[in-house]
Amino acid sequence: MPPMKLELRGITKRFGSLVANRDVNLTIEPGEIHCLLGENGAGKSTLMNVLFGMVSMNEGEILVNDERVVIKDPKDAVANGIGMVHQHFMLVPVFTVAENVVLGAEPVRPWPFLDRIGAAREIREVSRRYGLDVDPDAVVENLPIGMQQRVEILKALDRDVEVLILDEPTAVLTPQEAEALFGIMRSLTAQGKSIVFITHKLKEVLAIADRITVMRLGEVVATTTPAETTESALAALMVGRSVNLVVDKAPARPRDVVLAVDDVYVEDDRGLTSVRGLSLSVHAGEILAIAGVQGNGQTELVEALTGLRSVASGSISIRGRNVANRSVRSVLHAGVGHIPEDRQRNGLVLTMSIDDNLVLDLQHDPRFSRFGMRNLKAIHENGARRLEEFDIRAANSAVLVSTLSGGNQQKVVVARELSRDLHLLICSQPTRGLDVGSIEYVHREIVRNRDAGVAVLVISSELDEVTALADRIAVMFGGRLMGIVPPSTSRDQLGLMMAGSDHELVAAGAAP
Amino acid sequence: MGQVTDVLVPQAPMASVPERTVVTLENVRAVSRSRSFGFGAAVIVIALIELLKFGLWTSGLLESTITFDDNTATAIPSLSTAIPSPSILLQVVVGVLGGLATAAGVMLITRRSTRTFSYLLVPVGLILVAWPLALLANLNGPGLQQVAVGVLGGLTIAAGVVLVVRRRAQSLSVVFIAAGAILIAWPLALLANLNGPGDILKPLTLPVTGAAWVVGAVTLVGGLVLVVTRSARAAYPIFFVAMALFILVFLLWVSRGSSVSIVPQLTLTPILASTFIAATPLMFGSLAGVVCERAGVVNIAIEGQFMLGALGSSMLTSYIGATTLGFAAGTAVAAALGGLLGAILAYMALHFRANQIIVGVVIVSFCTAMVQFMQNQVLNNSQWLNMGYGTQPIAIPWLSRIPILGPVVFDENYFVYLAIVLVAAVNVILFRTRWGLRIRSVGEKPKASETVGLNVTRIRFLVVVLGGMIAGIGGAAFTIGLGTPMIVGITGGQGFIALAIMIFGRWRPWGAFSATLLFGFSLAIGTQYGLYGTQFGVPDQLITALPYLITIAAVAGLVGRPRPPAADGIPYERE
Amino acid sequence: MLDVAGGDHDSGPPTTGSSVLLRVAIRIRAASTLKVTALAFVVGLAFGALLIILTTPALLRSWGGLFSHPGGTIALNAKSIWGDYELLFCGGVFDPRAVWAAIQHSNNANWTTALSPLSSTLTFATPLILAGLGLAVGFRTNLFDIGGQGQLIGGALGAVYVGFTVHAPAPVLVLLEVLAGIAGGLLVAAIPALLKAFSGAHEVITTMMMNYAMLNLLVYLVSVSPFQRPGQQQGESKSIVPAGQLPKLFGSISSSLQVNAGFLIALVAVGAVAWFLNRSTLGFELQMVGANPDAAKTAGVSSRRVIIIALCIAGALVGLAGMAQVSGVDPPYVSPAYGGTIGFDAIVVALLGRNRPLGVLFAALLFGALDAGGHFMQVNSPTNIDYSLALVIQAVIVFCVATPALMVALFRLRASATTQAGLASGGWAK
Repeated sequence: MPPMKLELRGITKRFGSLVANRDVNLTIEPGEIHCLLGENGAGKSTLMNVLFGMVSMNEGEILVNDERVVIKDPKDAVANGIGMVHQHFMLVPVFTVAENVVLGAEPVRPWPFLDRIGAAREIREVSRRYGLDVDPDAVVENLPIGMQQRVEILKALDRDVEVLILDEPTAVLTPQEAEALFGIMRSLTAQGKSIVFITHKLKEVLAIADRITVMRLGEVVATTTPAETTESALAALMVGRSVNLVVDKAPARPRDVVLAVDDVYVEDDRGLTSVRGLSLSVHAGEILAIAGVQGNGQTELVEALTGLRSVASGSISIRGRNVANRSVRSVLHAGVGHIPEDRQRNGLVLTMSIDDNLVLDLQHDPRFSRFGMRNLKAIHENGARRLEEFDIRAANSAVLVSTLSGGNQQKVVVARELSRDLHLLICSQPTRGLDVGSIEYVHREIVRNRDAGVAVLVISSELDEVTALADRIAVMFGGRLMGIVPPSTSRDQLGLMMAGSDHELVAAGAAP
Repeated sequence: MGQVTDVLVPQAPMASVPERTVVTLENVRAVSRSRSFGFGAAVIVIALIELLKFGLWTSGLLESTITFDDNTATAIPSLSTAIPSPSILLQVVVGVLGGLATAAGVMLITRRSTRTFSYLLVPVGLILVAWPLALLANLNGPGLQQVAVGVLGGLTIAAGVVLVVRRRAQSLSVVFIAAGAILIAWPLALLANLNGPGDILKPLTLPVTGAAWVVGAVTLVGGLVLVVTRSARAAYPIFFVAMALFILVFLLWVSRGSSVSIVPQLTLTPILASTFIAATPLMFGSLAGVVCERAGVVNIAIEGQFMLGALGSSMLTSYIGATTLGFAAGTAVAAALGGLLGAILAYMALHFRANQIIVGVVIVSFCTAMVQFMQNQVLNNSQWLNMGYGTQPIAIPWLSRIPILGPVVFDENYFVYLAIVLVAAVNVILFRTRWGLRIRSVGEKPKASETVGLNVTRIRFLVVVLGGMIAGIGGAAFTIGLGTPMIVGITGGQGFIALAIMIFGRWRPWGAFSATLLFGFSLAIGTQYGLYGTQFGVPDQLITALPYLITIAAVAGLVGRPRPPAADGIPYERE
Repeated sequence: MLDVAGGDHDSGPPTTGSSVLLRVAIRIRAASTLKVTALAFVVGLAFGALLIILTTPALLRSWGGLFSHPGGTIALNAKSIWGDYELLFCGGVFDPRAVWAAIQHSNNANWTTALSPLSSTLTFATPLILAGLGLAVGFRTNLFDIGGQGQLIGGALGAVYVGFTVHAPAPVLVLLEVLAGIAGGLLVAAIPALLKAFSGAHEVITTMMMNYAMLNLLVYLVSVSPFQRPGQQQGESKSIVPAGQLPKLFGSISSSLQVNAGFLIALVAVGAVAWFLNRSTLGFELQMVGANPDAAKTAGVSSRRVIIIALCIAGALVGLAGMAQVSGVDPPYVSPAYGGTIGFDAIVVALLGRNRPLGVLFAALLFGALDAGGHFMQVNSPTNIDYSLALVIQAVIVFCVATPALMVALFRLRASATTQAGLASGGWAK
């Protein structure tokens, strides 16, 4: 297939009332690396899923070499020379590299027997040509993430695609792996392929892109080149406005230490150390916010703090009582409120009523139960009161929580956790996916609790939220604390810390 | 507009929830190592039981006699039949062909060919070469033939071993090694003069303690090897062999003193024969389970597919008559009914995304009621629709004359052969063909299949229908396979046992097949020893229950937790 | 983990279209549990009618004359089917004529005839209520316990053992039997429960295997001392002493009316389970784990503890069913055939009752009525329809109710939350 020009015209995609893409135009020239830049939720991934046939569009058309094509499913996309490497790899873990690469387009000899030898030979050849260095006989689940990504790239290349979409490819890579990926991308474009590179990391964009398209709120806001722009200009385009996340709050008056974390090590599900010797303390009456790019150990840290995950070594104490490796219930009992990162998965039982969800972790509270018997009246009254208090928009508190909008669901979680007798409040991504009104409300509640003498730990990957809320900011990278700084610290400085500044990065080794 | 100067725009680079891995094994390698360790430990326990209980603490009469049933144990055929002598021209042609085949085989093997048939070329080629040469040298004497057969056996084993070492065509390597062993044993058995009067084998008297010591020692070595090397590959084979040996020694121990006392003698061949008979439906059932679950659909309706298959085949065959056409039609209708139930399950599971286990249970409940109704309402009033015609055993030339093994394996009704062929075919299809790759991908990670253009729903549907057809044929094996009239409860819950077998066999056709034999063996012993087993203080029910208990242990991870297909039982939803 | 969702999710009333007629139409088409069950019943009867026609030679032949005298053909078939279903009703619910006769000429024989349908329905329903309740508790916790048969045997063995060894006044003895039955079922369920909690072994397989293991244990026990009945070579245990047998509710009228105090135990159990699930904190925790194990864990609920408790409660209730069956219904001893298909039927009863205590009660009564009616029908039917027709109708009803999406599609109902079966889908690996 000769080098190919790809054009998207007037793409509009709606999910219900939400417009994910509005009248998007985009042209990918042959042999270029085209960066698609935008915040989370800007519509980059949706646009590419439309292009790859995973999601059907409402309006618009796709042109390949100026001819209109119809892409209903991934098969059509591949037939038109479009390949995609998804954020979550579409690989079968128990298959070998070769099996994964040929799946769906298997060479057979004789029919219908798989031609493993031929496939392996071909993969080795393609792999060599683009410097991928992949062993076709390796089983995918045994490969490191960076290598799995190359298998995905191989999968696309094996199908002779001319345009390769890489969806946030560096999000899961170590810096070294990312560097290697850039090498591969350059060798691909050198051979006439074009690449759509989805990212939100400005440095990477300037380093690798030929052209840059910035998206915001589902629309294209600019198309430019690295030579014509700067990091700050791009950032301004992405964010569009400075998000006014000023929270009215008086200076903190920290008192005793509530949470003390000392040299804690935690392992993730795969048995890899993801929190490495982290120490910090949170005082009553202050908000400590942990900033950092997601996947740097924050999730595991919170799980360890709340008893959901065991601690490999180190100590965690709440008001002087050691709670490391204690049950969730005993941690909650120590006066901890926990607003989990993923409310639908960890914070709510969607098939239960608002009433019940408001007492999920309070059911043994004497207010709501006595002698193992639930006080349904009190539970319902509590529900009705919280509904009012937290402005949860629902017909009444007996309706299923699944009928609520995301913001109102989060309010249910917040309302529940704040109705506990609190000493420490741990909020993970407390405002993710909420509208501005809800964000302000949740922030106010957090500050109100701080002023009431609760120690608050906020974990957020939204830097705006961190700077707006925090009395002190701790930055995590690679499972370590890069330092604790005042909220007045410049975003430059914070950004550098979140990326792990150079010498520390070397010290951290190949942390994921 | 505030000044935005950050280097990294703060936001999540990845969606918040890490994709949830369904497989509970956190680290495959570590687990497979610990699994081997668990197996090794289990095997050592078995060995200790053999050594201590059967070997050391057995008192009284310590000999056990194995007899062979008149009908099923033929004598060892003599080797003295002259070598057939065709015309000279043919001899030359055969010799040249044999030489070429041998050369090609050797060449392919030394070049590490991946084509399995190259391993077949060598022994076949050598036979072809040796044949005219033997005629030429006029070597029609018994001694040399015995040597020649032994050498051929050795070569066949060697080819099998090479296959094992090169880790390919494992099923074929087993056949090679078994065939080679038979070829070697043949002249040796003749030398040892094991033939008794008449045309059957002599009864075999064995010292119980001696046998227990030998088997115990072998088992112990196997267990120790597993514990020390922690080889994941060797775990299941060693475990299975240890189980089989254990049952053998156990049988000897139970029937000790049988040569002189009133205790019935251990009659081996009927037990083996009923093993196969008991195992045949289970082979189909577990294979059906393997097929469906490899594609990610839990088929708990196998019991129902059994029932309708048994009913339908019995009725149609009775209607048509005990002819080849009748049996073929009976088998076909059984497959069709099983496939229909598979289609219903698949439609519910795939189209409506209903809970597969619930739909399966409900289908079983429906079939149970239907069968009972048909039985009482129709069959009991119309005996001509329930004649209980059964297929005749088909003896396979040559192979059926192998003592013990021949009558058991190679003189069976065609359902046994069909099951074995299907197991082999499904194994090849699943692991060697493009369809198999697609089926397995759909069962492991349907989303990945979707992105490479496969239609997940269609593949799953077809596979579940196919699995249903296999299970339906298994149902026919209950009635026209055995020549039993249809009765309510003929399937006896074996459709559920088939699921356990599938898990025990680790979702692999040959694994399920081996597990089937183990279950069938224990069922056969249960029925054969049911009348007097308790006299020895070991309830035969314990033996019958043993496979179930082992299955519980297996799924609990005590002897290594099997790993199901990752998307097994989970409805697939397109975005 | 995904819900067993119906096909489409356009639930809820529409925002526009205020015409009363439209609203009524929508209400009618909305798929409520009751409506789906009623429609399922209709489908079941229709399927049964089809079977009657297909398997009765006289009716089948009559269709040959469909075109020559259609009225006669249809009338003949309808009459025959109506006759059979009338018998089904009279045998399963009540026979108006018999009741009228009993009221007019009140004597024991007449009352026996009048009460016999009710008695046999309740007798059939009793073990199904108890076992169905037990399994429903498991299902509510998202544990698919299909080990009813094994737990039933466990309960019966416990009750029988107490029943023939202990000599005590009747109330004490029955109470001891109840406890022994509960303990027996609980012990059998405890093995899969512990394995699930501590090693994640899938309960479907372990409970299924326990069924076979328990069956073998039963066969073994009734052939050895102390269970084996003296003089009996094998196959029967000793009988529960008369004092230990549950009193028959209508024993004063006729000893042939089998319904016994087990039914009262079952009613108490319905209330207890309903209270437990809806009002107790533990029941709430069970449902949390069943609906969202991750959220339950985050809220400090130990899923391990809940799994063990839920399966043990399930086992205890099924064990109680085993006790009620062996000490309430003749014969008062266990044999290898003990229990029949109760363990399996209980699964479908729980599904039909949507895992709610009252639902299970009604589902079991429906099953019991069909069972009893089926037997009555077989005895009295002029066309000699076999009682297993009732089993087919049962199965079709459950099939329709268990796959509400099918009913929704079949009758073009509007999907709603109530049409979703209460068990999440999942493979062996969870």
